[in-house]
Amino acid sequence: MQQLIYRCFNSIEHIEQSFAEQNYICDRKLATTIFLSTKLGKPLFLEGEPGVGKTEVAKVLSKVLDTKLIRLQCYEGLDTTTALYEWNYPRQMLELRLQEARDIEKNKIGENIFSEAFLFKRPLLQAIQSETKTPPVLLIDEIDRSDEEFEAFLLEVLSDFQITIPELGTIKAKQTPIVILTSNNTRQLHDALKRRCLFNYIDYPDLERERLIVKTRVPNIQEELSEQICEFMQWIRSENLYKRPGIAETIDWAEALLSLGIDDLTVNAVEDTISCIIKYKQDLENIQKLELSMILEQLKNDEPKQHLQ
Amino acid sequence: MTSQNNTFNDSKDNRYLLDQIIRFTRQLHDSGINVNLTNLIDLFDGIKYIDIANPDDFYATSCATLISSHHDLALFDHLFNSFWYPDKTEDKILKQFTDNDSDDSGTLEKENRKEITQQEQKSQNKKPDKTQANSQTAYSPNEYLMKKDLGLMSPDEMEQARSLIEELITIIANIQNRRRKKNNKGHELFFREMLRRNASHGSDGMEILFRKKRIKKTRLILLCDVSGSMERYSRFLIHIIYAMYQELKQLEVAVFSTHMNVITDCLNTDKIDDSLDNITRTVHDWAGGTNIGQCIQEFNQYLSQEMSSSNTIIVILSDGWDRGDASKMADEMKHLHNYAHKILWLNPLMGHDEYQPLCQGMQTALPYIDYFMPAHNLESFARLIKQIRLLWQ
Repeated sequence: MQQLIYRCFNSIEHIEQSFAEQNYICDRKLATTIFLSTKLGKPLFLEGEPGVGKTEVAKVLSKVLDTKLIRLQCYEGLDTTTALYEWNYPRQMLELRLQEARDIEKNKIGENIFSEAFLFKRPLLQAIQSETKTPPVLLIDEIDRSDEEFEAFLLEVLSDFQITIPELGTIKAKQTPIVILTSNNTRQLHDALKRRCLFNYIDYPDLERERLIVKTRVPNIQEELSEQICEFMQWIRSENLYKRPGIAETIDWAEALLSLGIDDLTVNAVEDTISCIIKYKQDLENIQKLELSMILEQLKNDEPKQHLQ
Repeated sequence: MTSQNNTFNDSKDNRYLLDQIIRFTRQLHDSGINVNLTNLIDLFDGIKYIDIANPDDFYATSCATLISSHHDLALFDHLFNSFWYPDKTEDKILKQFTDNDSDDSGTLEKENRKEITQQEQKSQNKKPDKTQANSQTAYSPNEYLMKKDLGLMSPDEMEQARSLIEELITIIANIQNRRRKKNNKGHELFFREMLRRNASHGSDGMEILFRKKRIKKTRLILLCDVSGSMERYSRFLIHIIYAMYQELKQLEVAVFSTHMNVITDCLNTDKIDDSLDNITRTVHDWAGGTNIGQCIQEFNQYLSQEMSSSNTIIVILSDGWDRGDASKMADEMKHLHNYAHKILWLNPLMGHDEYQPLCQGMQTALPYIDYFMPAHNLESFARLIKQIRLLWQ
């Protein structure tokens, strides 16, 4: 079953290249980790601030491999009935009625209602039972939002790739899915789970990479504006904010400015559109207190850090 | 892929590399990054597929397999560079890390140790006088302990108090969850079990089963003031924190005076003495000045993203003596208040009859606190625990 994965990528460069074709600029480190994850058949654990493109990795990977993306969004209270499987109760009851109406022998009634036909397959079971040519990409998003019980359960699934349904028995994966877990760090995860994965921390991109990302994602934008946007974003992340904007915000902002027909970052332009990148009232107040005109002037003169001293 | 031919198949090189990697992981381990055998095997498996002559790829592979948290990243980077590429590493950075590891913590640890033992001696000296006589004659020991000022407890009494604390804490450890289990006193139908049981006798005359929410382990964040003015209580605080941690694994603890220090990891030991060692190594400003605004800001910025969720109860243990900027403290308290489900402020001074929250810090904080409670003896802690329990239901 591993052979299928082997054929997918033959080098780290291959990953960088095919991700770039899907408009995702990933650095060498991330590419290496993805490469190893497919080679070793181990889950990939991506940590990082919101909006740096963790979830996107899974989406792009599934596109590159031309396979199914199965997504499990975690939240507190997530349990096996939403993550794994649930029995289709109305259908089971209906089946019982039908069997009675068909005058089936009393002791045979209900024998079949705990079979696969009466099962709702939730993401984890789907991923394990998938029979596609290339294994599916299983995205377990924001694992830090789920509770400890679910984490422990996941640990079990990820180590053996098999699931036990009491009424049916054990279902073993036909092929190991490519698993990507993401975390925003809202709480510490258990070591045992993290140890089973390959770890990568996705940081905010540096200026050059951010520029490249904007160019790839918002191709119609003028070079000069994109430069200004990226420098402004680099500066704003160095400010004292509660929620620093990620790359997702940069792209949103660039698109917003483009659609408004703005081609130069003036104070007015920034003030009108700042809601694209600042999402907290207090952060907004803090930014408004600063001399935006001076900052913009300095950024344009290529002296990005001077005002900070 | 290329590496498979050029480096890894040569057994001599292979052997050397293996030794080096093991030495490296040992160094990681000594610096506090835990590497287990699985990680190591992954690394060996991993390097078969990369070109280990390429430093970036080798770094990415080691990083992906050996560490599992971004907290370790900076230390890992440094150790990696100084081990594999010692020429490139600047002395400056090296010094910064070694300073932190050896000199600083060494002396501070000693100081802190001294402090704690001094406190213990002080309280031991006090023991022979009337307090002990009281404990045997006038009250039952529990009742007496419950009312005794925490700053005056002797180590023996401390020991007794600990079991009391543990009892109290088990109460808050058991709170309802959104997850459900079968329970005939519940109000929700439990279809799965019903169908399983009744399938054999058809659809008529079903036995009705119910399910109910399960008990949930509480998430609590304790922020403890360990500045000079709280010194009298700090020994006790550690005991109560340790006892709480043993019971509630979802507890996060930070101590502050001039800076906020998260000590949750330090508590994960079998003995309280080991925890004390860990704490003295981590916290460098024990019994220092107080800057509550600054500390809460640090908490808001880093820690709140790390560890809490909207149903978190935050307990602040402090006397409110603050030498920082009041308006900053107000801003930060406001933010914290928006963030947490409830904020409880425990003040050891409040137990005294004549106490009024007049000091600047307390005045600033009051509008943002949901519950302002005394915390000078065990009885007040019992009240706190009841309060937390009520908040959750």
